[in-house]
Amino acid sequence: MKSLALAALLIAAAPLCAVAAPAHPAPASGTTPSPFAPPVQRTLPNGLTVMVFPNHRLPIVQVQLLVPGGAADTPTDVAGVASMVASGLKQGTPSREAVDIAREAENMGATITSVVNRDYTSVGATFLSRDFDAGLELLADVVLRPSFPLDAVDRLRRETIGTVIQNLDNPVTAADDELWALALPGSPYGLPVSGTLETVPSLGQAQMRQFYRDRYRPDRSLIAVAGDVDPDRTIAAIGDAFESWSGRTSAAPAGSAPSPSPGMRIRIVDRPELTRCEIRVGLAGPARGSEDDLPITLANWVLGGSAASRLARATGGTAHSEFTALRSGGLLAVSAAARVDSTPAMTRSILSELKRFTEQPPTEDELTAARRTFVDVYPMAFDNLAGVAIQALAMSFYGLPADFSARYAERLGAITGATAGTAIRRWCDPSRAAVLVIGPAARLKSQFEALGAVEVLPAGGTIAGPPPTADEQKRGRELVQLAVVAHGGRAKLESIKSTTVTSDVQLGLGESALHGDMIQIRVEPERMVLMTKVQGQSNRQVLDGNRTWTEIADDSSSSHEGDSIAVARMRSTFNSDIPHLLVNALGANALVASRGRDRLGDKDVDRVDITVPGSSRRRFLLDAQTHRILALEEPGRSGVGFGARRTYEDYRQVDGLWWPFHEERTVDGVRVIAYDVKSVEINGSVPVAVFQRSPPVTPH
Amino acid sequence: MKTVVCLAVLALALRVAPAAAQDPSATAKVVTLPNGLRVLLAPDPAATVLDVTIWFDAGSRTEPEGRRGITNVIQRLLSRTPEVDRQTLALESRGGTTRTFTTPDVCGFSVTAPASALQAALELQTARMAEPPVSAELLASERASIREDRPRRPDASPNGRAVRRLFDRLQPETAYGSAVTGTDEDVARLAPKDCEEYFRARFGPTGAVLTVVGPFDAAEAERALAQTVGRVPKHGAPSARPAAKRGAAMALRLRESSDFQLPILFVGWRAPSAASADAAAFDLLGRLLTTGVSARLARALMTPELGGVFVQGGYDSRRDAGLLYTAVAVAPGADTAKVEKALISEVERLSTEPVTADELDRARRQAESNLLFAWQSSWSRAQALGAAQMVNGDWHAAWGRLDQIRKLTPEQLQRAAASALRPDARAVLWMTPAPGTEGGMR
Repeated sequence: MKSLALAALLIAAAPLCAVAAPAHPAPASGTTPSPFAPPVQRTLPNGLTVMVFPNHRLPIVQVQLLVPGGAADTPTDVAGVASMVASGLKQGTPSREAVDIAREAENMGATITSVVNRDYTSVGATFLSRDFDAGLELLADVVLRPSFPLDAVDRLRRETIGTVIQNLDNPVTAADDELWALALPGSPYGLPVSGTLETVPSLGQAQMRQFYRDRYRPDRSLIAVAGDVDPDRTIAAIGDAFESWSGRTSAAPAGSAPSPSPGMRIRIVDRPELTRCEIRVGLAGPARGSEDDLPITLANWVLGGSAASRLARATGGTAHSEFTALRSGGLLAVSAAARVDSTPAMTRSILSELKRFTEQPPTEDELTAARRTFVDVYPMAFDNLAGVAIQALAMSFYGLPADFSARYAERLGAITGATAGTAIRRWCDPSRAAVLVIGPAARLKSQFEALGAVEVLPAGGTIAGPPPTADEQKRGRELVQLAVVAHGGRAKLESIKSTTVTSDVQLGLGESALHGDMIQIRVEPERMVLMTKVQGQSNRQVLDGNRTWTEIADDSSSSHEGDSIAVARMRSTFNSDIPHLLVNALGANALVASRGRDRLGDKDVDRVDITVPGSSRRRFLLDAQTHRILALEEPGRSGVGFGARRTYEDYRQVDGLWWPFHEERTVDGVRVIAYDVKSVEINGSVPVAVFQRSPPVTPH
Repeated sequence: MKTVVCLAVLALALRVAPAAAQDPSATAKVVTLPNGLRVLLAPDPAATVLDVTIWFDAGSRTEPEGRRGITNVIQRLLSRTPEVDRQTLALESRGGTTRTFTTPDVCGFSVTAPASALQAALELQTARMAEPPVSAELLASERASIREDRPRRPDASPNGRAVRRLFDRLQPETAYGSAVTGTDEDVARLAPKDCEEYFRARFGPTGAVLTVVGPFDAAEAERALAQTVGRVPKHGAPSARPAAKRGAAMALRLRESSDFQLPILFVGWRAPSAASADAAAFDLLGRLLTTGVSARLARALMTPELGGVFVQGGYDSRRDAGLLYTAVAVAPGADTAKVEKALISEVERLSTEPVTADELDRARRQAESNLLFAWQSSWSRAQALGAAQMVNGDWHAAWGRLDQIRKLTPEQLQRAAASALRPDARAVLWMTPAPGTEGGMR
C-alpha cells in the first residue's frame, strides 16, 4: 500500500510530458492514439478551455472539469466550504431534485463525482458514449445551476463534521493534516481540506453560494473529454451546454506563500492510548513549475521516495517521504510510525538523514537511477481515460510552459548533483523542520526537549479549535468540583472498587422496539463485563485489562477477540459511567473548560467540555441548581459536533452516591436506546468466573 | 397484451442498439508451460501499465474441514521469504506495486509495474512460488497478526457476516459459510506440516494461472517465462475440493447482533454459480433490485411508512454456488415484520411478472458501464480475465458477459427469477444492534 501511494505521488508530482517513455511500444491500432497525444483544444467565448482526447477503443467517455476553487481558496473562517460545495453540486438544481439527478445518472449507468484538493476542485463524469449528449446536459446542469437546498446543506454539514472527526480520530490522517498546519504557518495550505470543528458547524447555504459565485466561473475553468467522441462535435456540444456560464473568478484570499521556517518547531499531539506513534517531519517546499520543483521532486525520490531510498535504508524501511508541489508552494513530508519507546530515536534518524542529505546531495548514480524510474513510471498515470484527462487539466492549471512536455527528458537530464544540491540546501535544512508526533506526551516530551522547545496539544490539536482560555478552564474546574459534591463527594466516588448494574433495555421506539435485559459489571482497574439478552439472544462483551472479546451465546462462531481499537472502545465504555466521568474530570491531565449556560428542557444547564487523554471530547450539561449531570454529549457517528447525547433522569441515592435510574441515548436526535435501572450494587462481590472466556457464566 | 410486449421489446431493442465494441483482449492466448502453469498472455500495445498476476486454485472452498483459514496463512507466509522481500524491494524501487488477495475461490498475488519491468515482475512471482519455510514461531506470529486483523476484514462487517451466514444456510454443501480468515480455533490448530502439505497441493504451477496484461511483446514474454516461472518445479495437482459436511437441516431464519447502529434485514436466495448460463440474468436482477435510488427495493422500502434507511445487495457469484441477497437497514421503531414482508414480496414478484423495459435498460447500462470502464486499465482487466478463468473456467467469459447482458430479455430474467426466487430457497437474517457498548454512541 505504501508503495502504491509512493507511485501515485511520483505520478502526480512528475511534470507532464508528451514524450513517450522509451520502453513504451507504439500502439498498433489505428483507433487508439498514444496516451500522450496532444488534445484538440479550443477556448470558448466565456473563457472556458476545452480539451478533447479522442480514443475509440471502448464505447465510453470520461469528462473532467477543473474549477479553480480549492480548499486554500477559502477564507480561514469558512474552511471546509469548498468540500461542501463540491458535495452539494448533485443535491438539486432548479429543474431537478437530488433524486432526479441520481435517477438520471443511474438510468445511463453514469457517474458524477467531485474531488477537492488544496488548489482546485475537479468534477468527473463517466458515460457510455451513446449517452454522451444526455450525460453532458446533466453534468452542465449540476455544475452551472446548483441550488444547495437547505435540507441537503444540513446533511452535508453533518457528514463533513463526521469526516473531520474521523480524520482527527485516525492518527495517520490527523498527523498528515496537522503537519500542513505546523510546517506552513500562515499559509492557506495549512488548513485541512475538510475544514475544522470550529468552522464547519457554522457553514451554511450562504457561505456555499458565496464560494460558488466566487470560484465556479468559466474564465479559469478547464474541461477535458477523453474517449469515444468526435472532437469537433464534442466542442460544439460543450459550447452549447456551457454557453450560459459567465462571470470571472474572484481573487483568492490573501495568505503568505510557504517559505522555509526560521527555526525548528516541535509539537506533540497527546494521545496517551497509542502504543505506536505517528511521526512527521515537514519542510516548506517550492511551488509547482518553479525553478526548484523538478530538482526537489527528483531529489525526494533519492531521499525517501522509493523502497531503496536513503531514508528507507536508514530506518529499516520505516520512513518515507513525499513532496507535494502546489500553485504557491509545497510541502516535503517525511512520515514514519514507531513504537513509543522507539519514537525519539526514529525522529533523530530522520533528522540526521535530512542533515546528511544537505551535506551529501544525490550522487550522479542516484540521480541517474531516479531519472530512469521517472521515465518508466510516468506513462502509468495514463492507464485510463480519467488519467489522461486529469493529467492534461493539471498541466494546464499549473501553467507549465508549452514546451515543457516536449523537453521533459531534457529537463530531467539537466538536473545535476550540483543543481539538486542547491535546491536541497535551500529547502531541506532540518534545523528549519516542523517535527510532529502523535502519541503519549507524558512519555515523549522530555526526550524531545533535547531537540528544542516542545509544544503539547490535546488530541485534536490546533485544527480542532483554539485551546480554552484560562478563565474558561478555571470556571470549568469549579463546576466539575460542584458536580462531584452533588453526586456524593470525591472520597465516596474514589472508594468504588466495583459496580454491578442491572437494567431493562429498550432498543428503538414504539410498538416494534426490542426489549431486553442488561447487566453491567465494572471492577477496578479496567475489568468489565456487559451482558445483554434481547429477544432470546445473549451477547457478552468482556474487557480484561488490555484484552477484550465478544461472545454470542447461541452462536459460538461469532466469538472473537477484539483488536486494539476494540480494547480502546471498551475502555471508553468502562470510563463512561457517572463515577468514572467525574473522577476522570478531576484528573490532573484532564482539560476542562466552561462553555457557558444553555437550556435543557425546562432547566438551566452549565456546559462543561472535558478532554481526558485517551478519550474523545465530551460535554457535561450540569443542572445549574443541583449541579448533577443531566446530560453527556459526545461526537455522534454521523457527525454533528456533539451529535450523541445521553440524558439522565430519576436520580436516586445508592450507598451515599446519587445514581440515575433512567438513561436515554440519542444520536443525531434519534433515540436509539433507553435503560431503566433495576438495581445498583456498589463494592459487592464479583465472581472471578465472569471474566473467563468460556463458557459464559451468569453471576446472578 | 402480446402486442404491448412486442412493442416494448422493440422499443428496448431500439434504445439499446449499442455500437459494437471490440474486445481489446481479443488477441490474448493461453500457453501451458512444461511444469503445468497456464499463462494467459494479453498483450496490449496501447496500454501504459503492465500487470502480472498469479492465481492459485485455493480459497475457503478448497480448505479441509478443521483447517479453515489455511489459505490466508499460506498467502501471508509466501510474502515473508527473504527472496520475495528482495524482489519486492527491487520492483518497488522501479515504481512497481504489489497486491495480495484471498477470496473464497482463489488466492492471488498481483504486480503492477512499468512496461520495462516484465522480467522483474516475473522474477518476483517465481520467488513467490517457492515453498516457504514454516516454523512454529512463524506460525505463531501469523496467528497473532490474523487475530488482530480479523475484525477489520470485510468478512467481519455486518454485510460480510450476513453473506456467509446466508451461504451457510442456503448452500451447505459448499464451504462458503466460512470466513476467508477461518476461525481462531482452526488457525491455532495448524501445524507446519499442514501448511507444507497444503502449499504443495494448492500453490504449485499445476492448477495455477498466470495472467500477463499490458504493453509487452508476446514472443519476448514467452522467453522470459521460460527463464522464470517456467523453472519452478512441477507440483500441485489440485484434487477436487473437499466435500463439506452436510449436517442436519439448519434454520433458515436467523437473528444476530452487530455493532451497527440500526437493525438490518438480510434476505438471500439460493442462486446458480458463476459459470451458469443464468449468471448474467442474476447480475441484472441484483442490480435492478438494489442499485441506486431507482432500484426496486429502494423505492419500495425507503419510505416514511416502512422506514428503510438504505438498501444494498446483489448477486454474489462463486465457482460452486451463488447467492442473490438483499439488505435493508431500518430506522429505530420501524415495523420490522412489515418491512420483511414488503422486501420478500418485492423480490419474489420478479418470478411472476416481467421487469419493465426501463428497468432492464437501466440495469443493463449499469452493468455495461461497470464492465467497460473496468476494461480500461491493465490491472482491472487482469482481474476480470483471471477471475473468469479461475471461477468460470474460461477467460472469454469476462468480455462475453457484455454480449450476454445486451441480449437478455425481460422473459429471460423472469425465467431465471422463477428458478430461484422461491420461499424454499430463501433465508432471512436480522442483525440488531448490540446494546451497551460505545458502538451505540460513536
